[in-house]
Amino acid sequence: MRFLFTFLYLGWSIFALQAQNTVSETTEKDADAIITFDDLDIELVNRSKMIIRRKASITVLNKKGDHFSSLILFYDTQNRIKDVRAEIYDKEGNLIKKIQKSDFEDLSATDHQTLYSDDRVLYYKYLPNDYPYTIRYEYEMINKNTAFIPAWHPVASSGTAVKKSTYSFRYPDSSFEVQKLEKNLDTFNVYRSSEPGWIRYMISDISPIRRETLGPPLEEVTPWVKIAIDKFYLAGKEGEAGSWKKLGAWMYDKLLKPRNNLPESTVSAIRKMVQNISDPMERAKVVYEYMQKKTRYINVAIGIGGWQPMRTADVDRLGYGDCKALTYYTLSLMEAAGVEAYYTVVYAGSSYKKNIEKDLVAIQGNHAILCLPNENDTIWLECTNHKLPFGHKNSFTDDRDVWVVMPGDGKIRHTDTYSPEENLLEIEGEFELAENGDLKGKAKWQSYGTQYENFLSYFDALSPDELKKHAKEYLGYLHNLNISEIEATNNKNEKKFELDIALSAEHYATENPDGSMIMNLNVLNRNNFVPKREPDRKTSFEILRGYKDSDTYIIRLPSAYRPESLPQPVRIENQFGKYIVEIEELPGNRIKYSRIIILNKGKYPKDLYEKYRKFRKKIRKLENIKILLIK
Amino acid sequence: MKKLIVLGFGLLFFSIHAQTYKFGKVSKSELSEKQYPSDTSAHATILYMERISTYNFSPDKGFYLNEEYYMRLKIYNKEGFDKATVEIPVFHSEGETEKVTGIKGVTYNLQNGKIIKTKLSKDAVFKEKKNKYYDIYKFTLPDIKPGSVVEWKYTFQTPYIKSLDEVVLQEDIPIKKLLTKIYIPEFFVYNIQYKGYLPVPSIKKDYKTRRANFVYDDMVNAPLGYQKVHGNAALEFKEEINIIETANVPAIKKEPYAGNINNYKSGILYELAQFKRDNQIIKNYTTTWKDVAKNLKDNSDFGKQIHKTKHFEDDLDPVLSGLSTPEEKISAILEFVKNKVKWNEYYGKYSENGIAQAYKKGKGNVADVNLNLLAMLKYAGLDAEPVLVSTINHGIPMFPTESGFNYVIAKVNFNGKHVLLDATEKYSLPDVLPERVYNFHGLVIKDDGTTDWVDLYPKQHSIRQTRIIAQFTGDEIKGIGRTTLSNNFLLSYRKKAIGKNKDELRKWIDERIEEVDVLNARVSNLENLSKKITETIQFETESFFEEIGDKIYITPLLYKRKKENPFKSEERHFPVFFNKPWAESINVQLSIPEDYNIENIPAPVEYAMPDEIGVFSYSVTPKGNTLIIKSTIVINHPVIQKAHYKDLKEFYNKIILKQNEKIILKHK
Repeated sequence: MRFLFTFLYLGWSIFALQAQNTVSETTEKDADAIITFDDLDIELVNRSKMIIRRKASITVLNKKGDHFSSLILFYDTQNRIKDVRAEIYDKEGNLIKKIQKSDFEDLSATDHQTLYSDDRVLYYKYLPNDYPYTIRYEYEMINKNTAFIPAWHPVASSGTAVKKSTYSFRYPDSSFEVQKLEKNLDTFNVYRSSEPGWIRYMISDISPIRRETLGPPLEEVTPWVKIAIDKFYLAGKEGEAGSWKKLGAWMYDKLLKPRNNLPESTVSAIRKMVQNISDPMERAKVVYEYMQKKTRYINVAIGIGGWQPMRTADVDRLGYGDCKALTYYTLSLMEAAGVEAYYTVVYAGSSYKKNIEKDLVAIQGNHAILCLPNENDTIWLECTNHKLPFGHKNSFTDDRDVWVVMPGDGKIRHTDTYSPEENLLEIEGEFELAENGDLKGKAKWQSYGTQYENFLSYFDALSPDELKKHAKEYLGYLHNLNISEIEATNNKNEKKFELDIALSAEHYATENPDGSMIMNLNVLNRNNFVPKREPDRKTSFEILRGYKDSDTYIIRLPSAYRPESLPQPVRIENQFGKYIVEIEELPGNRIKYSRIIILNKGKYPKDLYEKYRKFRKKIRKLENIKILLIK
Repeated sequence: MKKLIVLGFGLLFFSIHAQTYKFGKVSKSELSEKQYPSDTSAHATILYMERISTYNFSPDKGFYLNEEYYMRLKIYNKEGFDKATVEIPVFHSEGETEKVTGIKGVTYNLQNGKIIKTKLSKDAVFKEKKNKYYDIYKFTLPDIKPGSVVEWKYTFQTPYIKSLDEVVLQEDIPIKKLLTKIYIPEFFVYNIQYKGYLPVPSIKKDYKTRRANFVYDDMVNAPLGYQKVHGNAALEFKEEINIIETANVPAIKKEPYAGNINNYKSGILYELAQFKRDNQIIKNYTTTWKDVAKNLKDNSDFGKQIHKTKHFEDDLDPVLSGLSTPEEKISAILEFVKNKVKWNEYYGKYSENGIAQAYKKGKGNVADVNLNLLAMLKYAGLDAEPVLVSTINHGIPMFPTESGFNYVIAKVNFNGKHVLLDATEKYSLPDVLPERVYNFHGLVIKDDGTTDWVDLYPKQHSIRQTRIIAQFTGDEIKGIGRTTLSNNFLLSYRKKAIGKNKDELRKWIDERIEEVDVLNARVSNLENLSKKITETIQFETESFFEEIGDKIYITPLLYKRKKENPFKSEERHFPVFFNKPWAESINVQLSIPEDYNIENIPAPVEYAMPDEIGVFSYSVTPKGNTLIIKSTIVINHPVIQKAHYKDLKEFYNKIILKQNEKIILKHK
């Protein structure tokens, strides 16, 4: 699995080489903004002092470049903004505005997900009157935390041309071991220099790059460098890196272990709960469900709290915590139940499977999950979700490199994912068509894998009225849809979400003036997605997760009508997937429609994009297959 | 701009709690309740909410309002957990500040038949310094489980007593029982207004005499006049107690196209009208719309600003030179202001630091922008008047009040008509305003101090007109589509489209239009604000026709047909807001190959909604081997009352059925 992934990644970089054009004349073509220069200078003074200086000049050419006119500097109790200033120039190059530190607004940087954090932000937004305009800024920041050395990512935003960008990292050579991770440098002309105590990079004349439909995120095709040091300081604590083992041991000893003070009463309650269960995974399931019932997600991040979980006793008492707190709390419960479990750090997100970079030993990630080793079937638990079944392979963290923290150790591992066949949606329906074209019947949906997640988030825990409302939106194309009965069941044991609906729709079959009717055979699940045309496609494309839809509909025709003819079966198979549709007549004037779509997961070169579009267009046409009913 | 009221005597406050709900006395039956009987869809329910508002006095702060809030809430399931998180904003300005004290919270759970209490600890209450205007107190109650009952209470003190916080009578979850008591000293006279779609409880009144001892020392400089105060004294005065009680209030629920549903939430508004002593009126606050107008006209941050012209004269004169008609001047000034003073996204009807300063800085709040606009219009000799607006998010002003408005725009009268202008939105036009402004009526402040209401909604229809010339080849349909937009359709289009390069524009259009490949696209007059936009596409598609047996079935309006009725629910509580009268006309010329016969076409139809609210017409006319399909939808009202909801839903149903009828072709 891992091997395959790495291989694809390499193949992709080579591809990026062909795609990117670094010739200077074309640099500014179609750009929204031009970074004239951007110099980031980092000076590591000692373990707990880092000075960051940045100077940049950006010319904004149109509205889409306006994000550069917002100057945003985050700070907290661990760092200090020593100086910040900016200047704005109009298109003739006249200075039109000088901005001092006092012109910035001082705002709290707490997001909607967070109850409280001590993060703050200095914020200034220039409101342009005209284009182009140029914003120049410089700032100096002194940071006590040295766990996160600012990375160099010269092409960080879409549609931006870069004339020149430099990076300098200076450090006391005798005191630190430095690691650096370089990505996509070879596909661009990057100047690099590395001498003891000083690392430098420089890039120039980069044309704008934009993300394309189903294409890789900028991060995967643009150059960047990340640096890590072996001895750091984080919110009052000294840390050791250098290897995953060392960093893992430090994390476990200094950040995690001291937070476990689970009350004895809870420990014994847990033990009692699992005393008659011998299988560790069965015990784990009981514990996980107990935790899901007991807790909810609330984020409070103060000081080291931004990096360290809340105490387990506090979570136990308050019944809430953030991802770190809930994960570590679950870990402590698992320990009490005698189940092996490890705190795991990950980059979360369903639409981008971002890896922890294994070649850069540093604190990374933005989320925590729990790892339960289980021979060949390791289980990864999301502890901030109270609905997901035990053992569900959550798309939020699936199929990516993660960092597992262990006592005295730390390891990079890859999370599991479902196969396309496992991301299954099955719909079965039986309907009756009336003489006037109205349709009435019942259907059952059964969803698994990531399709289970979709149904869970849209249909779970709703009252009958709300369920009806959601179902009406979901099946909105059915004319004057009426839902007489509806039931949704989250079957956690089988990791399956079920939906049972009794419905009727008016004018489902449309009448022709000669008395015949036309009827669409795919009643409930028309897969009409076709990615949009990209005649000038530059990058590869990816189907991030595959899936399978299998539908069967039986429709009883009004006795006066019969099908004029039945469409022939169709079977298509290629590297993207499979499509099968069959229509047959059943006794009792009934028609049976069966259709299977399987879409494969995969990354494909850009040349196949048009072929993929054709495949989806063909599917769309077939998904709307109709028959003529005559008297 | 709410002003502190300082008075030369103080009142001590006695609160009388006569209630059946006591903090801490949660019952087992409340805890064991599994769902709310009268609304099983409720994830949480307010079992009891109480607010007791009284006036306190301190020599340095003057009168301020002391409000005791108490809430008991039942949580039925995980979806209701977020109701256990509480946010209380506190505002501050120039030395005056609101305060929250005595926050207490408890969670109750039933465990093996016993009530388990978990207290909110002090260190779990956070004060977030949001920005220079306000902070937020935040807390979440501990140990929340499905079935938990939670209680919290706190004291809120505010110096801003000109308008009390709305007496809330409805929430997005049901309310089982509610009690609000407001103790109003005889010195204060409030205007009262009800809002909401539910019948509201009447205000029961009670009167008490209160004897207040107070200490006074010095002299107090007050906006109401100079007051001498010395020594100890006692004062007897009457208090009017307003008692509002209600029970079993249903939750308010969202509906599509409903604007701001808070406008329909039940509530009572209190706005200070008069200050009296010994039955004499000492100060009249806004009691009539005329008072509102007069106060604003004299206000240094509003009326006085409109006459400041020095700061822009030199820049504006060249712009105006050579312009003669009012229309020319209006357009030129509107564009001039948009470029000179950018909106900083803060609302407000008062200029923040004066319009000259805003002009110099190049940005400001709504008033900074639009008062500059007004000053310039007047300077150019036009008959321009400010119009106070309450934006959609701000609700509807219920009675003569300044605080009912949060926004100002301009109205220009000429040649017996008028236009409305708003320079905060870059792509606005005369009578084409940003959506936030469309909230029924605005209050015109006239030069002579009188007022008038103006309908904010546009009078002219916004029109979307599409012409498609297409060809069915037997295997595909290809052609050219051209859509022209007018009025309010222009604004939203420009907001989305400007800034995109040619290729991005094509992709954006391609993504918007379902089931066709957009091969080429051109948009004319995108940045030429005074002109209508035309979007032209060259397209091809394999959709919109089916071959069944020896016949072809074509959906003739192609990608312009309506597919789905946006109005799905059977019932409606609120009006439907389109915010403008509008029309959509589609004209398709579809040619078919010579070797096909037209076997059947949909019958023409003309259908009108009652009261001329809407009209739909549709026809298909064959002309040789070409079919001409015409479809027109007209909606004549910006707001459709809920009484017409069923008609509107049916109107859409009819449109959809008709527009999806097929043309039948047969091979020769």
